[in-house]
Amino acid sequence: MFPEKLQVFILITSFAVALRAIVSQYDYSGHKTPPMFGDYEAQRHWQEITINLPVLQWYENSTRNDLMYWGLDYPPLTAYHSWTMGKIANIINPKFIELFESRGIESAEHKTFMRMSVLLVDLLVYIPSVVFMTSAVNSKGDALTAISHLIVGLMYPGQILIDNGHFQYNNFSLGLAFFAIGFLFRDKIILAAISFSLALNYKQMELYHALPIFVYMLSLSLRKSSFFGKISQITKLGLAVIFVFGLLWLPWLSSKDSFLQVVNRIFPLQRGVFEDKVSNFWCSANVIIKLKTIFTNEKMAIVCLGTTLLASLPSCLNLFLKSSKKEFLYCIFNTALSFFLFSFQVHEKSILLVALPAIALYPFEPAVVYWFLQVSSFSMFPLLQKDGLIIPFFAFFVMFEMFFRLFIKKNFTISANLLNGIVLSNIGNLILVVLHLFGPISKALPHIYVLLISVYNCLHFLGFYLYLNYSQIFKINYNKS
Amino acid sequence: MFWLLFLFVSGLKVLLIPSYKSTDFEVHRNWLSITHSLPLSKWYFEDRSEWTLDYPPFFAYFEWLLSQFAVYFDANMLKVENLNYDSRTTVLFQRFSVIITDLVYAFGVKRCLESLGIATKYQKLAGTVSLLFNVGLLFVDHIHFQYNGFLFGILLFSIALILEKKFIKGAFLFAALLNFKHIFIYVAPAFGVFLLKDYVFNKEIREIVVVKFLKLVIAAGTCVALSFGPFIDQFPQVLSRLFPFKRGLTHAYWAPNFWAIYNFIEKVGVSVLKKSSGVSTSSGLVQEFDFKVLPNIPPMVTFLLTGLMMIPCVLKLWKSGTKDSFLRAITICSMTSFMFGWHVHEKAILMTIIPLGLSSLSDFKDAKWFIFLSIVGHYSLFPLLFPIDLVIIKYGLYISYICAINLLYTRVFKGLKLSSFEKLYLCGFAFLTLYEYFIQHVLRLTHRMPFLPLMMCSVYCAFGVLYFYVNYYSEFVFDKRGDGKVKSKRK
Repeated sequence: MFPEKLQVFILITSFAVALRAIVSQYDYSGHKTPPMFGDYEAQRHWQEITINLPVLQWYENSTRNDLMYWGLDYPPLTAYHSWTMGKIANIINPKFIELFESRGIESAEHKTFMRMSVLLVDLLVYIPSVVFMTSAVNSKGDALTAISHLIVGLMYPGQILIDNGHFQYNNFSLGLAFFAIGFLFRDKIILAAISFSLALNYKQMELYHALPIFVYMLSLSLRKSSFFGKISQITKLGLAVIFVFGLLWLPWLSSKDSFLQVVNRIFPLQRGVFEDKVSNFWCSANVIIKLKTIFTNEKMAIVCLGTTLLASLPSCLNLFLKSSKKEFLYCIFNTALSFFLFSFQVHEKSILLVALPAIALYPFEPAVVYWFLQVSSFSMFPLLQKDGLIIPFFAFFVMFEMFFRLFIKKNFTISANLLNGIVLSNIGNLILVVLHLFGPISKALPHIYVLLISVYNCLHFLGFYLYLNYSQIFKINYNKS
Repeated sequence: MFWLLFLFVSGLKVLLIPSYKSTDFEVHRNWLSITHSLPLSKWYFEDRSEWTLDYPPFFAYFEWLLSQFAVYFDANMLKVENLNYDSRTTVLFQRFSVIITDLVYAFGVKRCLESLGIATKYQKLAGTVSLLFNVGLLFVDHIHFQYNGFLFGILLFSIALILEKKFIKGAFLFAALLNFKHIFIYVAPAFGVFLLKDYVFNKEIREIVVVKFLKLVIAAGTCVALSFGPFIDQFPQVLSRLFPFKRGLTHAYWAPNFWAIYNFIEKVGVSVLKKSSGVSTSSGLVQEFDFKVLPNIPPMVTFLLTGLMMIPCVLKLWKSGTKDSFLRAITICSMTSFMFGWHVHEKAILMTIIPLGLSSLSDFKDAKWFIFLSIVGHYSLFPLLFPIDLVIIKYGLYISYICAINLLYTRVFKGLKLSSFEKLYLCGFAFLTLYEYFIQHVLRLTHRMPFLPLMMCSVYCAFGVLYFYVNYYSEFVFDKRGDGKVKSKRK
């Protein structure tokens, strides 16, 4: 009826949509846990705030906007998105967003509305972005790789479990970042700059990807033959970025105070170096050295900034000198991972920002990427467990593993050592997770399993960091795919 | 590869655990509790719940077996008086019991594919995916809640055994299946005739005809004795539970069969002739109602009609006696019962689609019909999954399933195509969907004609099913085949 290619496309995307809708039926973060609830309530609360208060008060503490209760701490695009959803909520049922009265609302009707709003972003932003990015990256590759790349992008358990399960809209900013990568592969640099600026304005955590994108754009511009060409390209890029930022920040540009207020909300230094147990360097190092007692938050932030930049340096420098598309993908992965491992105020969910370039990198490192994605899902297990998402976690683990065996193992040549490594590593993680669920609890070390999961996966991440930096800098020229 | 795919789909089934479940969930919980906490003699008398035990004894034994494990999960689900009990562990236990017993289905599928002598890689893949991922089973078993998976597993296993010429074992399994769920009597004529033709009266099997016949009777009789033996003194009570005739001609939601069209004509007739109609047939009440324009249909008429309509098929099977015609006769027998039976459920369409999935692997035309009927038949299951949260799930799974089987079958059979007329008909489903989710809301018809989406769905599907039935039947009886037959090695 339809051409084969279109049918494959419909098959994968509609299955991806179904998976997300199925996960939507599970509990979300903060379900039935007053007084603060969780991310679900945070997102709903932002709709309430943006709909009921004038723009300039969105980020301002007042009697009508208690910033201690899920104060808005994402950049303006998130606020506008909340406002749009608030408008829709107002049509469906104004009770969803009544100021103060609506706090902690939990009805089946409201859940459907909220879940659908995430699915809407999946449909309009995330899924199209994965389709666009994979087709751009595989434009010269074979069809089978392109298909499996699309499946990896749309079936990555971590993103589905966090956005459609735990409840967040990472799909919005991640989708915009995918668009930026896709545009760069299609040599549409200005459009890439615009998409990425939008992504940054949705979640400031997109800074994880900023360095490589900046370096790559700069080196591309400097490679223009004429001096005039270089200058005009850089000017165009600058103007595009300023235009997007200017437009989105317009309401807060009237005074320095209101501008700084938003900035302070977005970059809160008072929160500490990491939250809960994160599989990053600082949290693991904290087992041996109690960082929080040695450094003040401000000093720690500077230490973090220094190490993060240092860790990103080799990869970014290499990209600047060579500036190829393949190098760019490796670099964006390596930099994002450096940020996750070493930067300040890291959440366990931030691993999604590393998973994004990992997904993009899939055609070049299929097995390693698969391994990384599984490890990244495991690193979020304690969080998912709190949200009541154990069942979908294991279901996804099995489905993703079967996809690996049916598809990746059959279509790529993967060394036996690597395969064994993946199996052993997954078994290790499964054992830790099972211990976490059913193991004996010691009173002296109540969080021992969570910590073990963090450290175990952190070691993996350090390994991925070393291996993919090595691959980027020394291997790329030798094995052209 | 087979087991990897099975694990994949099992993962999907596990994901579906928190989905909406119908009253069938409570039905089976109630049966768990009855078989666990009451003596055998009271199983078929117990009526504290409205969902009395109305499956044959083997299924009751099966529930008893499950209840032995259920004790370790949540003993409260095994108390008869705990009506509508659905604690978290109860849901987990019952859902997992369906997912795990689906292993029987997987073994049945595997055995069947082997005994069909499937040769090429794509045929194997097409068979595995179309059967293991069958979206109807996902809907009915893993969302709506029933145990069809393992029952179909037994059916496929018995088909496989018969294809392998292990007639006695095959007959024994089929008799067992009837004692699990008597609805499989729909396909019994095909089994009976094929066994007579290919075993009892087969001259190549050098045994006395009477001995062979007795062997079959003993195999089937043993099953019946094992099943009904313990209930021998309350036989009439058991039968009255198994065959309740107080229900109406059609189910609350009309299964897309001949009677849906009949009801539809009646409705149109009533509104044209302005006669006041009684209880609405699609109002959601299981109740008999009186026809004003067309004659009332008593149960006997449906039996006679069903039996009559099976005769050509059975005769044809008797004449040819090939494996292919055995499979097709199963499809046609179940379709005939679906078309003309008394109080047919929409779910029964799976009894046609799954056997058709077997013959579709080696025949060009069957493949085409399989795709056609999959599109129509699985769409007709949508009203079962009515809650709003399921809308995207059912469409998503349905569309991806249809694309998958279409892609695979066009790989197996080059040039596989539906006719323009069929394509045009299938486009109608897009309109049905549009009407249900957009047009009726825009035109504000939801209050004035709330029944319309359901009625349109069942009548429109009924025409598709009827079209399939007439064509498939006539192709079978008049042997309009042989062209474009795929070369596949047979064992």
